[in-house]
Amino acid sequence: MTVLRLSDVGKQLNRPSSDRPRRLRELVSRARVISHGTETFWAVRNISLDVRPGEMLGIIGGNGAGKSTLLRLCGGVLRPTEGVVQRTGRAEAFFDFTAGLQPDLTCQDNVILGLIISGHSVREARSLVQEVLEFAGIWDNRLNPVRVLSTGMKLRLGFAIATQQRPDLLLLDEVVSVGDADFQERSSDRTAAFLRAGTAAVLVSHDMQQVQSLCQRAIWIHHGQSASYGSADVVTKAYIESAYDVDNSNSGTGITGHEPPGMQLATIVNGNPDTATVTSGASIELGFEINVDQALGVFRPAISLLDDNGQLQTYLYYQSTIEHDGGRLSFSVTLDKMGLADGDYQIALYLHSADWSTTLGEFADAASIEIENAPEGAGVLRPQSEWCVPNK
Amino acid sequence: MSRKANSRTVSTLRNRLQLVSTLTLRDLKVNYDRSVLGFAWTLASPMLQLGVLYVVFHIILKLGGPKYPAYVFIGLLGYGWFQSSAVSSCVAVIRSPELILRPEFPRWVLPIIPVTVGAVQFLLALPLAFLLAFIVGAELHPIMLSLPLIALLQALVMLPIAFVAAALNSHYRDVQQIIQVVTLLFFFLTPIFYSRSDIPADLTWIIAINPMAYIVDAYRAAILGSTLPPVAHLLHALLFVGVGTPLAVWLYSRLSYRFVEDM
Repeated sequence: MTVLRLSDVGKQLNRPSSDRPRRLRELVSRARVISHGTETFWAVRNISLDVRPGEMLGIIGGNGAGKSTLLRLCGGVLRPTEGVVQRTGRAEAFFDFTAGLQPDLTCQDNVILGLIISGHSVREARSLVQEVLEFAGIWDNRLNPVRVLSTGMKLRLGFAIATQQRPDLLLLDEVVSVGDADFQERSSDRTAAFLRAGTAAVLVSHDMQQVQSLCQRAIWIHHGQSASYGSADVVTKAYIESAYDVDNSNSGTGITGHEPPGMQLATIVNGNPDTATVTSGASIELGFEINVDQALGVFRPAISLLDDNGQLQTYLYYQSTIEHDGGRLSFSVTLDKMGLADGDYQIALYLHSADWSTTLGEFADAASIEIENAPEGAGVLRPQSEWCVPNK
Repeated sequence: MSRKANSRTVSTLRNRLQLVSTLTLRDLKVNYDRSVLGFAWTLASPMLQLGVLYVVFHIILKLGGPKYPAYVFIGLLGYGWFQSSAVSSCVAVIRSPELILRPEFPRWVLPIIPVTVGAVQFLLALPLAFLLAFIVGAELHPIMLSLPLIALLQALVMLPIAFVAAALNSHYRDVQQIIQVVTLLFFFLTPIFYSRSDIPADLTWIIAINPMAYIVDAYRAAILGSTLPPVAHLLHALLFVGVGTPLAVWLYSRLSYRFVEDM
């Protein structure tokens, strides 16, 4: 049994560049416009997926890949150009930052209107107002129009209204991490309770950890097509690896580095500039300082470590994001117990956009490390070993 | 159909009616938001209109008889409902992106709201028309009882127009400009300031096919006690409703799938 099934779904949209005012002339000459079909593109195509009760499906992909279009198709708010979307039961969605709220109405009136749309009667809606506003933590603002609320408050209110009653299908766009820690806990508790009770959910997210921890399965959308669909672990890993591949192909061999224009990097390795000799098994502390002209915005740093032969030995990324408003930027990472074989290693530093879609900066030779005194043996991994043997 | 399914249909219908009334109230509140008089404007604005009419026609132009301000007021009241609803139905869809984005929101509700909002304003100003009529000597008579039916007819005439305007304007913003011009044109093609007897014989067909001409004169018959317009004109209005409504609903439901894309 499935709550949501998409079979070979595609959606054709107008090019964003054709966002000019529409004219009646188009209506008159509509047949011609369609026969030429010049200004449309496939926002998503050939997508098949299904979501069962109690399951959360993650949608991942870069900016403009078609994730939001896909989520709206799931909610029936957009109609597919080709293929079939089948839904059973009642759907609630949290699509964007308007959060389904009417800016000129008071919070209280918004709750009542929202609950009536969800199928409540006026009387039920009135009796639930306090509960919803308290869940959102904005009871004191109940008589204020929504337009005076902060963005965080609006999102909380929108979430509280949409999830007052358990839906059969819950569609979430980047919102589980809304609000302060307290509200996050309440909202994720509520979502989890819905899932246990049989709600099917779809989550669009840029946060791979979130997708790994909340979703059983995921779909990776790349240029509107399904690049990978299956277990959330496998799909998110494939996505992260592809971000690494893009870095590598950009810099050719991955060894000859180029610094992005307008950025200078200084690296400190265990207190020394650029290079250091480290005993195998000791920790390596890498401090990065970047001088950059313009603001990078929100980004996610990552490093890779290559051995003598240019083979990738590890690729690690910061689990969250950093916000940069311009000027000097410094951060550090400590690699613990680096039990590696003797030899020279190269560290590369990448600055990814928060959604992994672009690389803002890459430094292929951010630092060099010489490892020495490794335990004897073979292979790149040389952990310290302790043997327990039977006494004679 | 089982009893359970039946009761679900009834509760869905009740929910939709409550949705219409809640959204109507929303629009009334938002219309008068940030004004000092607030909701009292629904009454204050026709009263001021009446004052203007009295000064212009009775004191300055000395036009018509003593009943003339009442005659014009009733015409303006009926046509005002038509005009304001037609104009605001153009933005009924595009000003509510938040509602369009909710999966369970019934989109067909949106064009109904401008008509019901206008109806509330019309009903609130109606006692004023009666008061005026009694002042100038109108008496209670049985045609008055037809007033709710005339108002219902007007709502039915306006709904297909609202559906078409709301749907087309979401894609082609020219429609709201055109609607403004067309409602202005029909303002003069409807006997509001003049009476249908003033029209040259070769142009009376315009009055005959204009449903609003029948409606404003029917209001006058109900309130002032004048004679009802010909039944044939009523049939024209009903024909407009009968043909226009299915066409408008068909067009709206076809275009409603594109509302989100056009946002």
